[in-house]
Formats: sequence, structure tokens, C-alpha cells
Amino acid sequence: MNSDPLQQAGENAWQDTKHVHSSLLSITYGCLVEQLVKDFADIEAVNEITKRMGSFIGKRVCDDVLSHAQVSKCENVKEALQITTKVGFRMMLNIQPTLTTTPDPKIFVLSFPENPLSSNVEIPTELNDIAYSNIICGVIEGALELLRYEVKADFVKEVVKGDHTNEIRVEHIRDIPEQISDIFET
Amino acid sequence: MSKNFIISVWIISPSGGLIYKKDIAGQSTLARGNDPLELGSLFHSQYAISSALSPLPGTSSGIESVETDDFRIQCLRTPTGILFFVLAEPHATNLERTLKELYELFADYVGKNPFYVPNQPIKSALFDKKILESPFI
Repeated sequence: MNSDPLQQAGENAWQDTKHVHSSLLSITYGCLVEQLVKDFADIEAVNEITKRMGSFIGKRVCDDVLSHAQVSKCENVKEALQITTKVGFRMMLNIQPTLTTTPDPKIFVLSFPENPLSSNVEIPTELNDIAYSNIICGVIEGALELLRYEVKADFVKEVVKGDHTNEIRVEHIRDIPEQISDIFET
Repeated sequence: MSKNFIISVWIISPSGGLIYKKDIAGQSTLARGNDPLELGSLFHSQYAISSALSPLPGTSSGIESVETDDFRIQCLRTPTGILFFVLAEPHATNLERTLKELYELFADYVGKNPFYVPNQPIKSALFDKKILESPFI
């Protein structure tokens, strides 16, 4: 047994899940990005759309991860990110990013050397501004929004762009407050 | 009668609306008109009050269970704000497991359905079927 309950939960969730070949995921995502690049001349628009799609995924996947993580509450954004890395990423992509804190308590860094979405990808020079796996940043933003943390996630390093590892910088913007008055007004 | 002595299962959205209610035991409880909707919302408010009453604000989970002579209620509030609760016979055991199962089924058959709009009533024949088939419900 693993001593870290979250890590164990991630391991269990991965074992319990039915798997498909990772090529299906990388090819599907590749076709999606290909089509977006054809449809939009502006690379920024492509980056924005992949992130927005990720955000939708995050909102749907959040409960799936939490129902396996066996946590009843999460107290702060760091705990939420620990669940994201140890259970979420492990369960969905079979990778476990290292979560590092920075001197600024609002900024966290997730680093992972392997990215199943882009393992077969080479980016042509004219598309150098594309954030190829931006969908992952969207997933983090969407999932944490559901837990009432507004964050901004962006790639700062990508292996497909020649960096030695993938790094996502997560900035905690604010807690989305939950007030009893919200409940009574709705 | 359900094998696990469950009478009914309820799901309340984060904004307090009843989005799902299923009678397991066969006979319908509280079948009159909008009663379930009103009671669901009221229970959600009770839950919010109970956690606000905590002497350590923000840390209490709120109501976990309610016991009476004739039945008991067990609740699960997810970190995303969805409130699940089951009504069961007083001697029912391991209702936490039932609630976990319910949460997993919800994540699988409601959350992953792209045509389900979050916080709207759940009208899914597949979800109904999975609930009735579950060994824990």
C-alpha cells in the first residue's frame, strides 16, 4: 500500500478504469487541432478554443475524479491541485506531474516530462505560437472553478518546443466566495 | 423493498434545486405535486444553516445524518457543492458506501453525458437503470 492516500486513490482509480489505446487520444486530439488551425487563421483563437474546450472537460471530469479520490472537502487551492495531479492526471492520462510551490504563494508549477497528447507531434515553425496542449490548461481551470478557485493556467515550457520538460504555471486569482445568501437568493 | 433498505435517493444541485429523486422501495413517498421540490430545497437550506452554525466557520461539513424512529437520512455533500441524500430504514447500514456509489454513478452517467446541462433536472433512463441495478442501493 502507498503511504500517501491521494496517490493510492489515483493508482486505484487508474487500475479500475477501462483503458483505450493512447494513440486514439493523440490522433483524435491531433485532428481536432488540425481542423482548428485550418478554420482559424489566428493562432491565438486556436489557443483560446482549445482552452475553452478543456474548461468544459474540467467541469465534467471534476466529479469523476472526486468520486474516486475519496475526499470530502478540500480546504485550499494547494489541496485542490494535489488532487488534480495525484488523482486527476494519474487517472486520466497516467502521468503524475510534480507540483512545486514558488516563493509567491499564489503561483504553482506543474511539471511533467511526458505528455501523451503531444508525444508524436512536431510543430512547424509557422505555428510556433500554438500552445498545442492548451486543452490541459483549460481542464485545470475548469475543474478548479467548480471547486470555487479561480485560476489561470498556462504552458511555460513544452517538450514539443524544444524544452526538456513540460511546465504549466498555475496562478491562483481568487477564491470564488460561497455565501449563504447565494443559496437563499436562488 | 430494496435489499439495502433504501427508501429513496435525492440529489440537490449546488444552487439548491432538486434535480433528481427516485423512490427505490416501490411505493412512492411524498408524491403530491411539488412537495418533493419544496422539501428538497428546504433540506438544502437546513444543510447550509447547519454548516453556518458551526463554531468553527467554514470547516464544518453540515448535516451528515438524521435519525428518527421510522427512518434515517444520510447525506453526502461533494466538494463541488452537489448534495446527495438517501432515505433509508432505521436499521440500514453502510449508507456511506451507498452514497459513494451514487456519486460515482452520477459522475459516470450524468456528468459524462455531453447533453446533460449542469444543474438541470436529471431525466436519464440510463442513470435510473444503473441506480436500480447497483448492489449498494
